[in-house]
Amino acid sequence: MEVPILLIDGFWVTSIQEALHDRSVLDFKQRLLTKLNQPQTRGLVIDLTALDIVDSFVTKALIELCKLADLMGAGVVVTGMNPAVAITLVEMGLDLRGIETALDLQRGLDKLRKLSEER
Amino acid sequence: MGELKIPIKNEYDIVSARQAVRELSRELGFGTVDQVRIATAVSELVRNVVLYAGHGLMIVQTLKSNGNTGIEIVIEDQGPGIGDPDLALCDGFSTSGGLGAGLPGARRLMDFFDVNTTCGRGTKILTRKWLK
Amino acid sequence: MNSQVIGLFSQHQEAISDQLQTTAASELPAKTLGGQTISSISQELVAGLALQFQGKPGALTELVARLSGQVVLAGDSVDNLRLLLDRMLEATIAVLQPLATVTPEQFLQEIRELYEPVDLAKSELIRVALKTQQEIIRKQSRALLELSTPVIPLFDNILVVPLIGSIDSLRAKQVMDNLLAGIVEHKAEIVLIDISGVPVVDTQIAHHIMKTVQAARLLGARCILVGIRPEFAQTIVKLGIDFNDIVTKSSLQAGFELALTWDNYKLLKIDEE
Repeated sequence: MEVPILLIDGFWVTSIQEALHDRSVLDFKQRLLTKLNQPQTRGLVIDLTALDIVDSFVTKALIELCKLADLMGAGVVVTGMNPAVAITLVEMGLDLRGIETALDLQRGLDKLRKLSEER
Repeated sequence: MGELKIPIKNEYDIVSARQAVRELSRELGFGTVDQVRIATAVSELVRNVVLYAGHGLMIVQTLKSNGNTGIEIVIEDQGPGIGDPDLALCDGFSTSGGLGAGLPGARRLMDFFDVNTTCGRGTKILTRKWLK
Repeated sequence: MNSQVIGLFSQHQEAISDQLQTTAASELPAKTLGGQTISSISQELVAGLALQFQGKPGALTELVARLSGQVVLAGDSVDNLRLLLDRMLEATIAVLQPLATVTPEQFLQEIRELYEPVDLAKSELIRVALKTQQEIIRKQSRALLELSTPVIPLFDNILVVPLIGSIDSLRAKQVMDNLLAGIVEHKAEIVLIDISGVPVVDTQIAHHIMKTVQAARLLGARCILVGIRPEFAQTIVKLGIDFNDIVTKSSLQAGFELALTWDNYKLLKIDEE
């Protein structure tokens, strides 16, 4: 059961599902690297709408994915966090500094467009 | 009120453990954010068991005291134990390359948090959250 | 033990009730209590007391519990209900004494049997009144809490959250929940938090604000804190709290102007011709 990675208007869009496991994170990173390597890549949106719970493991994976994308020269925006998850992350002390965020996919793409203009 | 016993055998149990706990806290009347806090804390603690001890057990109970309702979660394993629990409870400390947020992060989300650990003999974590 | 007085009581309920109304009329401020006429309440009370001795012990207590709640919810004073209970005994004596054929001592002894259920009823009256009042206060507090943490969508992408009055832990939590829900509902990207109406801002509140701002960022929204009083600024500096990541402006107007530039807008005043 692969995590879907779609191409929308030159941007890669992926949605992290529940039940992210160690092995699947590895596979996912590989696939993402391949996609980001393509020349027309304008950026990446990682959507968390499907996640009820975001713990330190998912957060760590997110941070790594963002670093990877950054190294590949692609902007990243994390979208779809819900208020309860946001509050819990802040209380745990994981506020994902340095990572761009947006409310939803649409806003995420808008932000990426703006960011890619500035690059 | 009865207890809920959930064996922890592999990483798939992390999801079932937190779903079970989330469901119970919802039934007890915890608000959405509290449900997420509790489930997230459980996710951290159960993941620690899988990472360090390989397997363990989670026991969940309803608490009733002085008209207050709460949830109590015990997570135990026979793993290597936490070498220095005080250190492990400090931010940024991690032996497995994680963010080091597991234990202290979980503690911040709950009302009561107790770690009982012996090197080489295992760890037992007892944590509680009350309805406000 | 068959008491003549109790037998007489049952037979003369109407007379006792009438007597009670007459006495009460001169003492009570209105003709109704808790939405019911004094006349009707009088009749119910007398009937309730009679039932006590007709195989339904607790009848009066139950009745008074119900009436007590009714009176409190209507905003009337339960003292008036208690008065009726007291006057009921007097009315009983007034009506039954001329009719009794037992000795005065015997009469007094038998009358005393009526006192106990009335006393029990009075305790219940107070207990229920207190409980009902507490419930009302609890509900009003909740309503007040929700009303006092409004989130106002302003323009395009912008939300304004005006905080007025003192903020305790519970209210801070409500503010955070409302603010984040507001971001989701209105798809806002900029939030103006106005704390000029908050008299005392301490470390706890400062931490709550930080937490809220950080959580809002995770939802893609930036916050501008306005209305920081000099005292608050001093407290922050003195306590070494790092507010560097939070954008602040002295006034709501300045905050709004900043919000507009973030949103790529500019305010232009149109000259009058």
